[in-house]
Amino acid sequence: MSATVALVLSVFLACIVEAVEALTVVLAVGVTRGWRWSSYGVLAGVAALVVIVAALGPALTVIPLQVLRLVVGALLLVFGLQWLRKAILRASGRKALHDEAATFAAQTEAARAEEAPPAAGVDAYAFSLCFKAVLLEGLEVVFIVLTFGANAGRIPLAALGAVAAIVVVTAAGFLVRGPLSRVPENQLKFVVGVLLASFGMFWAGEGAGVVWPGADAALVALIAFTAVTATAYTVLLRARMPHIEASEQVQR
Amino acid sequence: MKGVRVVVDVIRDLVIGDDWRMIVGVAVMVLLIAGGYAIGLPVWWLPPVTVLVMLGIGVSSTPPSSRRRGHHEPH
Repeated sequence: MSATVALVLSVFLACIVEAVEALTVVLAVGVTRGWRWSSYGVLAGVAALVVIVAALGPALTVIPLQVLRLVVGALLLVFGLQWLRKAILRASGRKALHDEAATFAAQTEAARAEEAPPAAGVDAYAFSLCFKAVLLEGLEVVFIVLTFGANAGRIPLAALGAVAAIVVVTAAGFLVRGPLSRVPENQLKFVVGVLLASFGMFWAGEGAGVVWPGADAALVALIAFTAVTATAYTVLLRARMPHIEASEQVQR
Repeated sequence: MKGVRVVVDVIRDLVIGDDWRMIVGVAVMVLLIAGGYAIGLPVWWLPPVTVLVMLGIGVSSTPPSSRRRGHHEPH
């Protein structure tokens, strides 16, 4: 797998996961409160994300590459470890799987319970909920786009991967007219976690002074190592008596 | 102030998430690499070992902290 393919794939898959989660909220609000102010909220959220990318993207390119790789690589590694940890806990049955259908039902119920605005009035509830959903889920994608893109010197390519994912999820949402509960979110998170952690190791290591055996080819070995390690932990946890921790359930 | 707090919360959720031990482990890794590099030791094996150890810690126990509830959970 070339670095370019891995870059686009990482951003695309991460963006699929986040876009599915944002879509669930937007659909629930749009169906129950109407599409006008829900759409405004989505557009405002997207606009805020575009401003963040436009402001931070060029700024990242002026930072010395060694420093950028160290800081961004370390952050990617932390991010990847967090994603992998959750994916392993979910795959092994120690944490409940993310359920888009349940989230959709809860959001729909909450939107119905809110007082409806006058016919020509501003629906602040629909606007703010859709804005927050797009902004909060999108920030993680922006982080991945900027860090991957800046390190590889290909922010536009990374952004293209994100846009492609948003288009795919939005089109699927319109076709299904409901939450995309069949998207294998946990498997996607597992793959993205492996890629984030591997790129993070590679770049953070280089930034801190590591000379990788095999140079760029070491990245392939790191991806394989991380995938095998995460799979082994999943198998080990599954072999023990599965249980979902109460504290984790409360946090969901 | 509310806007600043939201931004701080989002950054904290993105970077620290719900297990602060991950960022501590990575910070220790970076320090060890820098130290090893300074004295001329081969340190390429440290990042994979860090992933092995930190994932093991992360999935085998919950972090000893009282996480705030009711805010956005990073994915």
